[in-house]
Amino acid sequence: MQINRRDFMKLLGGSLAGLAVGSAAGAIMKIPKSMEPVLYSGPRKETWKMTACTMCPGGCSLKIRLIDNLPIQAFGNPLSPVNEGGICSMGIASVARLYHPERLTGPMKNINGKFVSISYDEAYKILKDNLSKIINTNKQDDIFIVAQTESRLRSEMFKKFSEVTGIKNLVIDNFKANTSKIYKKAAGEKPDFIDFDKCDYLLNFGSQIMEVSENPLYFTRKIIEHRSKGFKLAAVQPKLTPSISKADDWIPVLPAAYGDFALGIAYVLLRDEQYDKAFVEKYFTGFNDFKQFILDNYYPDKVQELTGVSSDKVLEVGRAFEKASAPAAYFDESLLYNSNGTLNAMAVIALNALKGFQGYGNIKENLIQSILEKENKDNEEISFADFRERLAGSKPIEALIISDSNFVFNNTNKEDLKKQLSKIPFIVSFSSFVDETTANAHLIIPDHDDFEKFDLLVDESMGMPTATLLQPVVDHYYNTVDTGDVLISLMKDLKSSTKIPYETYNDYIKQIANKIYSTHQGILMDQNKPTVIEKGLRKIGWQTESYSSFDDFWDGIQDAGGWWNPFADKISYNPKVNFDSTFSKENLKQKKLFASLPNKKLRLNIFKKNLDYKGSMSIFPVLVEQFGSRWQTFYKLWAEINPDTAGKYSLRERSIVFLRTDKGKFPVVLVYNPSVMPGNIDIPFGLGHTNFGDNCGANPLDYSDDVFDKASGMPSFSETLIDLDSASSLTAQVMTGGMKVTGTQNRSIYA
Amino acid sequence: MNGHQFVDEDEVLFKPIYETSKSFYALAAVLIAVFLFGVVMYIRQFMFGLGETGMNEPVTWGFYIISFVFFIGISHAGTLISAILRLSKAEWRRPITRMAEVITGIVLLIGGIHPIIDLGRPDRILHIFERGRLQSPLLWDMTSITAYFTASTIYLYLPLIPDIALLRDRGGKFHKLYEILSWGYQGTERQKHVLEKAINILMVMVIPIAISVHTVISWIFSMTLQPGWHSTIFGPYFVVGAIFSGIAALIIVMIIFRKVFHFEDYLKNIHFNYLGTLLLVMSLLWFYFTFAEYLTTFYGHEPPEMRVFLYKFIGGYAPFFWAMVACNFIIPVIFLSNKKLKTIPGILISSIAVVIGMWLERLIIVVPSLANPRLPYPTGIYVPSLTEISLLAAATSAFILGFMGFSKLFPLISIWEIKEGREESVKMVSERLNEYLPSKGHIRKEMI
Amino acid sequence: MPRYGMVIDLNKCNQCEACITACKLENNVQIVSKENAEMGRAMFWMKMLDTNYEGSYPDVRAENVPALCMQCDEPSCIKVCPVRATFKRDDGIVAQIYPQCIGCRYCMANCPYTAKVFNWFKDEQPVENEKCNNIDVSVRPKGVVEKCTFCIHRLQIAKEKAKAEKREIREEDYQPACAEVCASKAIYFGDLDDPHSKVSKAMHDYRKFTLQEDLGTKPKVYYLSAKSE
Repeated sequence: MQINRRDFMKLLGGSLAGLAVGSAAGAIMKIPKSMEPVLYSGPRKETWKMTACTMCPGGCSLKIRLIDNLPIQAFGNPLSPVNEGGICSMGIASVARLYHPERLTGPMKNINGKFVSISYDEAYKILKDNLSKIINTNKQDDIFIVAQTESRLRSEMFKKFSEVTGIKNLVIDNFKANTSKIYKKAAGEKPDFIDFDKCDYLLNFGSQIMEVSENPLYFTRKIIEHRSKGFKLAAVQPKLTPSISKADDWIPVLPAAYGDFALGIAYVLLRDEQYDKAFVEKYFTGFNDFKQFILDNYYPDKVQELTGVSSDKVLEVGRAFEKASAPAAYFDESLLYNSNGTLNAMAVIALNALKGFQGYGNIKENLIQSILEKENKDNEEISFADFRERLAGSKPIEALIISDSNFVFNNTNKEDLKKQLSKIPFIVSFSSFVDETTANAHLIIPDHDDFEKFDLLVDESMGMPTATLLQPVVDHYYNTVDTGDVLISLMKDLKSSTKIPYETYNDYIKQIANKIYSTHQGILMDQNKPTVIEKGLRKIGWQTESYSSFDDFWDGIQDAGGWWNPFADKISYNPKVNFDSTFSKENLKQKKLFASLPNKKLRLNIFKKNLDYKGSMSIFPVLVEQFGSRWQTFYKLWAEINPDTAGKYSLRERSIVFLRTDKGKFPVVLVYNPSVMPGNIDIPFGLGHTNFGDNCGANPLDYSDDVFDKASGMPSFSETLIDLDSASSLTAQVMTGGMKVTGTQNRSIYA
Repeated sequence: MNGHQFVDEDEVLFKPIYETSKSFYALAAVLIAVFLFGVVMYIRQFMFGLGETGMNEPVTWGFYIISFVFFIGISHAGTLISAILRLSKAEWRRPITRMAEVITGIVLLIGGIHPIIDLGRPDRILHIFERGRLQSPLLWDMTSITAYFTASTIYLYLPLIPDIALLRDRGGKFHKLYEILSWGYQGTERQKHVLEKAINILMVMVIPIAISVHTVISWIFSMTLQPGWHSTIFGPYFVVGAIFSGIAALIIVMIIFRKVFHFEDYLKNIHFNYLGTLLLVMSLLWFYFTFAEYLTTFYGHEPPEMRVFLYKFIGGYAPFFWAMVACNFIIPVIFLSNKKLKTIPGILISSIAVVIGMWLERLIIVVPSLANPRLPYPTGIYVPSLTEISLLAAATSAFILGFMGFSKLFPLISIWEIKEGREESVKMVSERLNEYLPSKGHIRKEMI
Repeated sequence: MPRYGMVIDLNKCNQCEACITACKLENNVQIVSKENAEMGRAMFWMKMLDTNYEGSYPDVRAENVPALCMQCDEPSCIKVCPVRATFKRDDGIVAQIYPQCIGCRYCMANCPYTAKVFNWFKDEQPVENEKCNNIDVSVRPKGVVEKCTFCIHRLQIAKEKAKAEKREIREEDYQPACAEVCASKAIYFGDLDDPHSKVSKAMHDYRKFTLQEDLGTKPKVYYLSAKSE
């Protein structure tokens, strides 16, 4: 297999050299000036390099196609067990980011509201001086770091930085971290993976499991594969997202009422005495109080009132959940985007606990976990909520370090945040683009593009440790610096007493790789799908490695795209759960959210689409175009509405309406969708940037009430009431650009 | 002979050639301006691409194809009517035929150019000759239109020869041109005989060509799988529509020239009365075809067909559809079937209505079918852009300009035929009538 | 001679639309300007058909169908082309010759699947996309019709490669971009006549149907859906 593939690539490169003439010239001529000589005389040699995608938490391995060492296309790495050659739209589009005209070409300094280009040394000096000034006066608590990185090693680097410099206020806004924070509270640690081999019923709470989740491509494959074996997927969420339309059951629940539904299911389990008694006795602290509380408060009729799901349906789902041999109730960060976020998540964990977390599993001797734990000495990071609180409070923040997080765009109180940020005397951002958040910075030291740096994406959500390598497919074009390197230099300069065991971030990655190598576990990704015999031989101690030294291993990991350990043993996940007083009357005095709607008001339910992850879409023209293409609403915000609701307000399909909230009004194209909850208006999130990339459409969060989950700080996506203003037909005509698109009324494709 | 002193009994027919009023120049200037604006817009379209129009996906054909079908339809006025009237020896045809034939010539040229305007790559037009596929209805179309154009221009030219000879004999302006064009026609018996023979051959030939042209144009649509287009009735339906719009256009032209050039002596009420009756008949025939077409669609009730049907009847194109029905059926029937209303203004109103209605009919045929494709794909209303509207205006002004130019070169009414009619018709007709009528008083012996 | 065809398993498809993005970038399909997109001139060789909803709330099911050129065995588009700019190859692929097209759009009007798109203006890609254009595919000039070609350039490369290795072309050598990126492995592609190919095995399924079957265009893109009975 290995030899074949290499041969294949060489051959492909050779044969392509001849083919790629003519049509290529126009396309290739417009690359950076420094590359032009290569282009005019280049042999048009095709090469392929493996790297990884960090556009979403999934961490898929990418296969990049380079012509004369310039990347032009991205595909999924067929060797990777994570995505097995598949890839999503974001990964495919990601190459364009490298060439984006708005990408920062070097460090920038904000002088009177304008960004001026400066040298790296100067920028670094400003950064170092500013930080050391604060640290030397022992005011580390006035420095905040907000880092959004899907790479766990990179967040480890931030943790290390915070540990060394003593800056305790570190917010890691990371998909997996956000979930594990909740688990940490209730169960100590997060389960490693959903055990698809055992699990026969997955009750999915709000997660876009097949679109943007912990490991969407793997989940997609597994769900499809196991469905033929009796596996059932039920989705509890207000919006029938495209991938959920393939679920076996869809339970539309009122926005923000997930937790009530989970407890409703818990009621059925408790009432039927079908919960895992052994587990509960052993691990569930305060079970009896919990049981009593649920039995008293979450009977199906009550749940129907709270969630909008009929009591019959609650019973039906409850029975399905209790009958399943290894059910799993699943949630991820998406569940947190409402004011009850953490409570809802707790309820889901409690539901799992009643069934003994049977659908989940842990990895025995989790290598990655142990490596990471050795690195990180239990440094508790704070949540975004704490940061929000501090920003809004009276105690000033002296300095703010932002890495990749565009929280101004991703939050409901954009204007407030901007105002609060303007009070901070020093903000440094490591973003590659002047996004809405970075626009407030005083200093920008742009990071390399993902295709210009090293990283290792470690993950165990597949039930086996994997490490996908992110490697530079191209030397960095511009005067950018890896943020990891900046952090390492800072650590050295700010705390010269501490010994840092690595010089650069690349060193760090290499050291981690070396640790993986030295365990002699697992295999490279090119040995995809080990056979049963191989697995057996492994168990009794045989080694089938294709490498003999670390250098070999390192070369191999670069060629194959990563390492994984398919031989890892699975153990069941048996955490001690303790909800303290989470489930008590006082604590659950939730707002009765929209159980009944005020007259003439509708609910604004913002949903996320798979082409966008936390507002990153706008720099990819191909994704922005595709965003509304299925509804023929190009570069415009659309709103999906149930035809019955629309009928009540006599709103015609494809008409332009203004949605009015307390914060203002914005136009949308109305699209009929019978799967939208009556009373809801579903609006996609992702458009409406003001600072970078494509600025079309509107950001519905800008018009939403400033409601957020108090525990995690995540903004609520679905708790704003709106009024409808129907625009005059003339405005509608102008806004639709002359073409009035009328929808199709349920045409059958089979006709 | 000195032309200007020569006074003919039909002097009024020569007048437009020699006398030009100021308002003529003013109108010509306006029309040329409109035309040139259209040309500029086309050059823009040529440079930037067809995106300058309002066409889109799935409505990939718009004004240009509508104009193409419409103008080619109008062209039927002419030749077909004149040929049929000539063939049936209708004596009242004499002052009409020339104008009818001129319409054909001009309009065919305008209509024939529209598919080229509609091309995305007009620079590659020669590909049709280099690698044309005869299986494509577009190629049939090209063939039949060029054949029709050739035939109808010759058919226009031949009866023009004696008149050109008259003009040549009068001398004066364009003397050289007339000399060349008249081919030495002197009006000898032999020349007359040959000319008449040629005209007779052509008028027989022109009828099938004319019918084939519009049938083939309808086939462009009906050979496709589009709902609303794929119909066997389309051939005759288009031909009827074409003759219908042709007559209407002819009436309008006649009424205008009658007024402007004072042809009241030649174009009398009886002509309009006859043509009006013909228009009424065509209107009824058109309605019959339309009714048959939509009734079968409705009873077939195939979902894709019904989408187009409903789109026309109650959907986005309903205003145009019902306007078309009003223009093509209700207005003509009201005006033409009522003696009190069947006056020249009444006939003019119904003719204008018919021309507008037939343009709408082409719109109704082309756009709704494309806007409602078979697959679940969003439908769209087509809104023409300035480029398309100005090109339609340019085409219309080119038509008027063509007529104005013609009127300055050649007589608009066939002088020699009028003369011939005056001299021979009465005799010929009475002879002919005597042939038809049963003889009076004589009882044949065999019958007893 | 192989007969290339595709099977799309709708029960597997999770509608992530990756095929659409992959197609767009693989074939350098133009990203038209905003005004043009709003006018309905956005160019997609592969697109999602309008969602088909069944049932009423809350028991609604939605079905989305990714559609591309159906590569019909009896294509209605080639019948009407006046200049042979679109034709069916021996291997069943309905190909386009861009330098020959005169832009009459007759084939678009006659495609019952509305699979073809037209270059209304000259290519106007955003600069970042232009830089990563696929060098194997020419950028179409203004005024010509284009459509999915089953990534025919990949077949060309695969053939060259097989020739260099002195062997027959294998199934995995030639896969269009949409099939390659599909994460749920819902798109099968290959030789329909080869009984051992994955695609012909997938095709022999009781769930099989094609779009607009009754038109007799004999599409070579098949769909599998349990709802089609």
